[in-house]
Amino acid sequence: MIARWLLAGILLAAGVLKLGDPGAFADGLEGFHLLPLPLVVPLALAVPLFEILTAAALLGGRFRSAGSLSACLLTAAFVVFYAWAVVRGIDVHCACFGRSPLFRVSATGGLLRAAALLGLALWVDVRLRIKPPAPGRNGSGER
Amino acid sequence: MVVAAFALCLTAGLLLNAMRQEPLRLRYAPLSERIGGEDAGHPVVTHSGARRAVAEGRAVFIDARPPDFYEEGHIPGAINLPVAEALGGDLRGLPESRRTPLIVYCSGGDCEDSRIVLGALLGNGFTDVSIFQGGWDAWSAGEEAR
Repeated sequence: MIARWLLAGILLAAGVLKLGDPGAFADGLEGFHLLPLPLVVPLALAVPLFEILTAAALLGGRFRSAGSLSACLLTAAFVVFYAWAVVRGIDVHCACFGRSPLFRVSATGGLLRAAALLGLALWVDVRLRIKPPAPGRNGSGER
Repeated sequence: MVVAAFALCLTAGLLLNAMRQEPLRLRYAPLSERIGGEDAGHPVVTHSGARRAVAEGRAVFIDARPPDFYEEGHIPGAINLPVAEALGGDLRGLPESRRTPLIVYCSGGDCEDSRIVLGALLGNGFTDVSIFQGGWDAWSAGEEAR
């Protein structure tokens, strides 16, 4: 549960910080030189909201599995982007947490951060999937 | 469900953007376009020019890369001014005189940071700002070749 709340908190913070300055995030995304230009701004507008929705789903009861799957996909995408930057030697900073210098990391640092988040998301996803169903009224686990 | 949620977020994001006072253009404009053409019409310094400028102390070099890159290596005497600080107006350590020749560089190649910092410096009144397009990659390669 702590891992789920932590993941939700990180995604919520990332989403809210990006939502305030989508232009910075668009610049950051473009800096990876990985996306076709027509996709940069639409993604920069959609991803922050998707992060917030994912965080809400992780915290909510009914959509936790969908939330953990979304978190895995999001963080896997971040890993791919940063791995690309490391391989290509691109000096990149995605503004994933806004423009604040507090969260600026090198491409390698970003890759490690994204990998840690992916690990956390996978952990949450696996835990949610192997967790036994809540017992029904008859205590048999079936309703 | 995840795809539907993403589509919903995309739609909501586009609507929110349309309601902004200054909405983002949906077609991303590279910074060089946004600040007015190729390097905004400002002088570009070649590798040999950069080497001369260092040898003669004719200009102050501004390293626009993040601090960890700067600490790994930089042009002798260069001042680190990452994008966030430049955009935030934090110009501590820069020369007092706005006429001091400044040469901005980042990693080289396609990196945009030097252009962003150049825009910020011009916005703060510096009048003699150039870009060393080869950046750190060209400089360090040149040093190794010597």
